[in-house]
Amino acid sequence: MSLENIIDIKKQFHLEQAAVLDDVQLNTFRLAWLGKEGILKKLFSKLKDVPLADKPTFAQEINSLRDQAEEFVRLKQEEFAAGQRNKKLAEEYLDLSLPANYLGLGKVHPIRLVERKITKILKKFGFSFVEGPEVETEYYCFDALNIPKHHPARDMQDTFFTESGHVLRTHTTAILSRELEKKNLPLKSIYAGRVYRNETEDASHQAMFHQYDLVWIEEGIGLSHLMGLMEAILKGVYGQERKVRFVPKFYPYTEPSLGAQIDCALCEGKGCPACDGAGWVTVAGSGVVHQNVIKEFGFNPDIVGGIAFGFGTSRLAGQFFNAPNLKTLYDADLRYLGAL
Amino acid sequence: MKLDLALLKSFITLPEIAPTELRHVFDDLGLEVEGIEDAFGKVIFNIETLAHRGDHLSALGIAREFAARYLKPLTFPDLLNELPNTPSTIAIKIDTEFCLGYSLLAIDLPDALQLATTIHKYLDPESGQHPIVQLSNFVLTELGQPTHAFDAAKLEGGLQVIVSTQEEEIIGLDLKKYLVPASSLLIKDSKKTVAVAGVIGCANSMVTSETKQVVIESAIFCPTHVRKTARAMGLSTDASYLFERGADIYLPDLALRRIAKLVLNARPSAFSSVKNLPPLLNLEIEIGRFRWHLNQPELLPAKVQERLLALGYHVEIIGEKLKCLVPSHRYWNVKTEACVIEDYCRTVGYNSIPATIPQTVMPDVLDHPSEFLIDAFEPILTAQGFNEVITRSYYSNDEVDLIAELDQELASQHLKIINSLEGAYSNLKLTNILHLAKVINRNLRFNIPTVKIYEFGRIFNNQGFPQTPYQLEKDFLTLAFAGRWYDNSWKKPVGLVENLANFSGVLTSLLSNLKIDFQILPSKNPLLHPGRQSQIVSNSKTLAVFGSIHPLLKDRLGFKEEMIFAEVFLDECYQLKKIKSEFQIIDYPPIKWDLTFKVPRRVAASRVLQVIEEANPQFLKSAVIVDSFDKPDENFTRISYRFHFQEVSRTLSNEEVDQVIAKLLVDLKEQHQLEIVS
Repeated sequence: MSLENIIDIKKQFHLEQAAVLDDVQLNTFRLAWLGKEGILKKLFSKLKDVPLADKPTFAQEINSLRDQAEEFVRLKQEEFAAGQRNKKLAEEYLDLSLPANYLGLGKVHPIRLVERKITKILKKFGFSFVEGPEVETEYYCFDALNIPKHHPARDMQDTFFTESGHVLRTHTTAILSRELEKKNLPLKSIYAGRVYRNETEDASHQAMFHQYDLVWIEEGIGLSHLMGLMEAILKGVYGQERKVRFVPKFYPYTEPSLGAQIDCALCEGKGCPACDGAGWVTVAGSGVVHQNVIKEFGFNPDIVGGIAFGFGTSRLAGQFFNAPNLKTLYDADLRYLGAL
Repeated sequence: MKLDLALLKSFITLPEIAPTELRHVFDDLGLEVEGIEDAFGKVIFNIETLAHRGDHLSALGIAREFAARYLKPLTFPDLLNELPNTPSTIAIKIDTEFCLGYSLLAIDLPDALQLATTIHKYLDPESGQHPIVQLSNFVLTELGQPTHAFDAAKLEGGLQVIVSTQEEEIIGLDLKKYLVPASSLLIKDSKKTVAVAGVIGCANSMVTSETKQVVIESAIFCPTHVRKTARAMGLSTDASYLFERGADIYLPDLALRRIAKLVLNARPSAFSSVKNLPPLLNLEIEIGRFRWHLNQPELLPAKVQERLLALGYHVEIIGEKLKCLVPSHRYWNVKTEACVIEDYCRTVGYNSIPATIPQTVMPDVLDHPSEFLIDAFEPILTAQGFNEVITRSYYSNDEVDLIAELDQELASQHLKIINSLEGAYSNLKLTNILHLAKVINRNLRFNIPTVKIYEFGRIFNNQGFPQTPYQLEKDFLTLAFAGRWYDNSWKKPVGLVENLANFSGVLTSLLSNLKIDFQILPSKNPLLHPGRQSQIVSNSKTLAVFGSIHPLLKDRLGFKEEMIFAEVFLDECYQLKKIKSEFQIIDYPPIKWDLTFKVPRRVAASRVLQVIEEANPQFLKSAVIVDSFDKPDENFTRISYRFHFQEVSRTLSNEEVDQVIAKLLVDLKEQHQLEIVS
């Protein structure tokens, strides 16, 4: 065995390396070169026959060959494993572009969204949500709220009467009567829900619709507070840039009574058909709780004051969601509600 | 009302501003301008007046508001200095407290009656009305006093104002027939009814071109009576509209003097009047009340006084008090100091009042039960693709009849509305299934593939609901589904069984979010398919009922697809909710047993769980259903249950559990004929 032999062996090594194309050939190569009976083992066993002078170089060469063989086998094993894995993964292909089993996202009703928006603002002022019956007595709905027998709101045409001798509440302010009866002051409540009017339905009138009321009864509360609070709330609801103004109104359970108006969003206050040329749109009714209402529940109106205001939530939802026909809010057409 | 700007300007000098600017002053005074007509040299304001302000229905009343705003004097129109001393040959008798005054002015008419030229521009030459009627209408617009002209020759005997005791039929000036209800105020002569007080005159005494003498009535009637009668007759006239809102109690004779002044070639020949006028109210108000409401601590009594004087009050300042005599045109609606303060506010304009946010102690804000439940349920429902809808609270008799086909007793529990204008409002709903079914059906017809809807609302019942906050109503959440469970799914739809399981899963999620332990048991809701429904029960309370809609309802409503419906009772859910879970971690491992039983068909799988729970086996932590299998030729279903046995303080031995299982199996077989398969 001589150094010349090593050159030939190296040539053979490179030729066989180049011929390895798969797992099986690699294993054959590994056994041929690195196996117990492999070429390199044999070369090591023949080291003793190499002339002394050549021995270090010979040993160095076959050690180098062994390192190359081991590195080659390791790299090829990794390469072939990766290839197999990739092939397997390729076979496991799933088309994720197919449509999802999508449940769809449901939507909260526009009226509820509006209620929530107002409630979020009002809770910061310390108001709590209260509910009351929809089938109400005439006392709580009318008498206690300074709506005497002859008031048009009590007409058979406006109010639904039930066989049980009750009325369907015509306004959410009816809940105020029940809350005042509890005599817990200060009273800072918000009421929202369905109210009823016995009238023929059309685009802007519904026999059932939604209202939202706020009431604050406490010593020392008065008109200027009502205006300050309303302005803050309306700007919270409609945007800080909007203008707010107040005009006289009439409601039986408040005196003075005010309508709150904001500048018309369509014409920016210039006047257009939508606002009857006024440049302003009434968005809420309000007032100082009438002295007779305060007295009815045993409070002294010289000491205890109250302010109240209410939104027509259905109308407000119509404004927010550009749905001027109120009927559409109650007809539950998902094509429509889904688009709002 | 329609107000000619020129007529308003005859009372007061207004600032020289464009009508479009002036409208904002109108609005600010509570005279909401709905439109301005500006044509042929006339500017007409179309005004929506406040519901309690009869005085705003005239140029005089509106001019008074401007006078108080601008602190300018009013020019009152010319009146006849004195009405004739000669009493009318027609006697007046008032037999009711609801007429506060009744005056009659007789005028002999020439062949061609001439009216003052100053008012010609306000009259409509095309109206075809008798000049005296035109004059009456003008004075109504100008001063706000309704008057009525009778043909004197058609009246028989004196006139009497009475409250009728029975319904009667009249023919009005418009020649239409009306039924006038009992308890109406009527004007009668000795033989017939000649007018319905404050509403309309009768044709039997109307003025015509042949009339030689008119008798003009000018009176004050109670707003309540006029309104009730007009409503009952289905009629609203200019006179009734004003009387309903309260007319000036001192105005009738002034109006007659104005009329007398405006007829140029006719002679007022007689005048009679009967009055029963109440005193005007005097209110003493501390100036501090004005200062407090207006947030103006320095407000002087004299400032308030000058504005109120301009509105017609008589105001005396006594130290820090204002003694305010309410003017006759506000007799009907100024009753408290707040009304006077409101009047003052209007004169200065609300927008000039400095607004402020009150200082207050913030109370604890607690969630209302309904808010709590909506917050708990809504995210789950919307994430599952359910859309909120709001349906109406009522339905028609046809819908009650439909329910009656399935359950007469249930149908009889509807709370009826006794005066509904429309048939659709005849009954308050005691179930939401019909409304949701209709919503589903309508949306399916729009080719929406997945219709999942929910509604928070109320149901009503004439028997009442026990243990709920309201006497005759109850809060519910209803859910309904039809179509494909997955929105826009491209695969073959899953079957009813899987849809029911999916639906049940949503209900389970809702209740689990309230940390409520519950069982799903058989139910007997008459509106659901008898074999495809269940109830969710906890602590012996039914929290929800769900299942397929009854086939009969499906047929009647024209449904082709299956609809699944659930009613969740919110009061019960709120009562049983838990804030914290009772889950306890046990460090010792459980022993699991899977047992499959032969459960007879039509016996609910959950019934077996209930039986097992009632047997209360030792060490049993939980039992759940894990599988079911049907063979067509067998009259039972194989249902597999998984039992978990566990002890808090130690590891159980297999022998201990084997003994429990053996006893359980014996009990189930002997007492409930439940046989084990494996």
